Amino acid sequence: MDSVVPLILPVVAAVALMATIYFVSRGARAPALDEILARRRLYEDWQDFEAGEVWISADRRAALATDRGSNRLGLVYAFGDKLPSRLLGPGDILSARLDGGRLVIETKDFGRHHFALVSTGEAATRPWAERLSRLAAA
Amino acid sequence: MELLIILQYVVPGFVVAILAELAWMKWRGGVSYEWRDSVASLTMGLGNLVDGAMIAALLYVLFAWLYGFRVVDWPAAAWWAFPIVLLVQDFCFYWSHRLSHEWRLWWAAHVTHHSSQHYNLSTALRQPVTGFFALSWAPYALMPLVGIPVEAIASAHAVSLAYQFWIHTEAIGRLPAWFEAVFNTPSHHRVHHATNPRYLDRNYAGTLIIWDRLFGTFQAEVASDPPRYGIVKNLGTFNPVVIGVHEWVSIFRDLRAARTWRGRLMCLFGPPGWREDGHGSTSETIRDDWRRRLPQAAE
Repeated sequence: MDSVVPLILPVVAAVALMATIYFVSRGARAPALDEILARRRLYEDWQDFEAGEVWISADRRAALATDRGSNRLGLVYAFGDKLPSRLLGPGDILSARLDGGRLVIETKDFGRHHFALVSTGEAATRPWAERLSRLAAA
Repeated sequence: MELLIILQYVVPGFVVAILAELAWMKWRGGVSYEWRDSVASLTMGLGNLVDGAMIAALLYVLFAWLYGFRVVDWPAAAWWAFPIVLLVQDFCFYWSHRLSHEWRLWWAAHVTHHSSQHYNLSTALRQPVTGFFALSWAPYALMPLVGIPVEAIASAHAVSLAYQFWIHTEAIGRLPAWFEAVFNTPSHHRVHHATNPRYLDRNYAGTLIIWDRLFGTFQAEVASDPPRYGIVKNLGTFNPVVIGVHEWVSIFRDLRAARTWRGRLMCLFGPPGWREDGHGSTSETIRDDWRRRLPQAAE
């Protein structure tokens, strides 16, 4: 029995902490994106990327940006209460399509391969889907 | 067995500390815990117990054997020798930790600990689950060779792990100058977990920051450059399995795609972010780009 307690204790403690943290921190969301915030996030994360044109998804939970110096695209997305980012270049994307009001991006990234960005309408979103598709084909 | 007894005392302390940190965040306003992030961290902490048990089982045998080849014979198990044992353990930790950032093979296990974008006491428990396979425990082989018995090594390791728990917090600012000069502190370790170019691959210390000062990897926290936590390319998942194995998958893919033996070797022992096609970003190239972009800030 004495040797069982130290084995059970970490599990009980972890479950109790998970429940406490849920009640204390629930509802935390990433800030809504706008162009300034999207540019700032990309500027902070990537030293070799200079955002040109920026697109913000309709729900303001994702953004795409062109790079002034290359054909890469910057992607900022809401994840929990944070706004991490990615650079998408040739060879990083499997496919990109407009599907049911969403710009769906499939990447080769094992950490996160699927992104679904809420469209701002066919006319505004189509050029971004085409840019992404060109990267997928490269 | 000693480790199980230590767990019995350490776990309640961890729980109380996390509850205190949560209470402090509630009081100041703005709880910087994300519950799915913390669930992932705590789950990986439990997974690390299994990984740790496997490493302990191997090292008890291996280090007891190595102890037979010790180059110094001294009463390292005596109580008065324990500070020296801690010093040697901390030196080994520094090199194991530093190489865990500089060699991709070891980074594959250690990246787990850096994968949260939050810096709180639950992040301290987000520990590797594949350390056994990465072999990043190898530098500790120095300890039996300098005459430290296995039991003393285990005790020193437990003290080191317990010490490093409390420094994973934003609740503590700067401590007295003499303490910051000698010991690893929350401020020094915030730097270590940050992805700001200035802070990348700095402050590898476990308990004593003197090793970073000695080996040129020290960086003080700069008030005008608040740390942004996580890894250069943040994961975007709370799945503990993905967090635990993503870099291994990435290494495997790169090994398969590598065209030269140099490329294959660099996939394992080159810095994280290195790519055979020359388009990778390592800590050094990121820092160089940053210096070019903001030369005044970099001074």
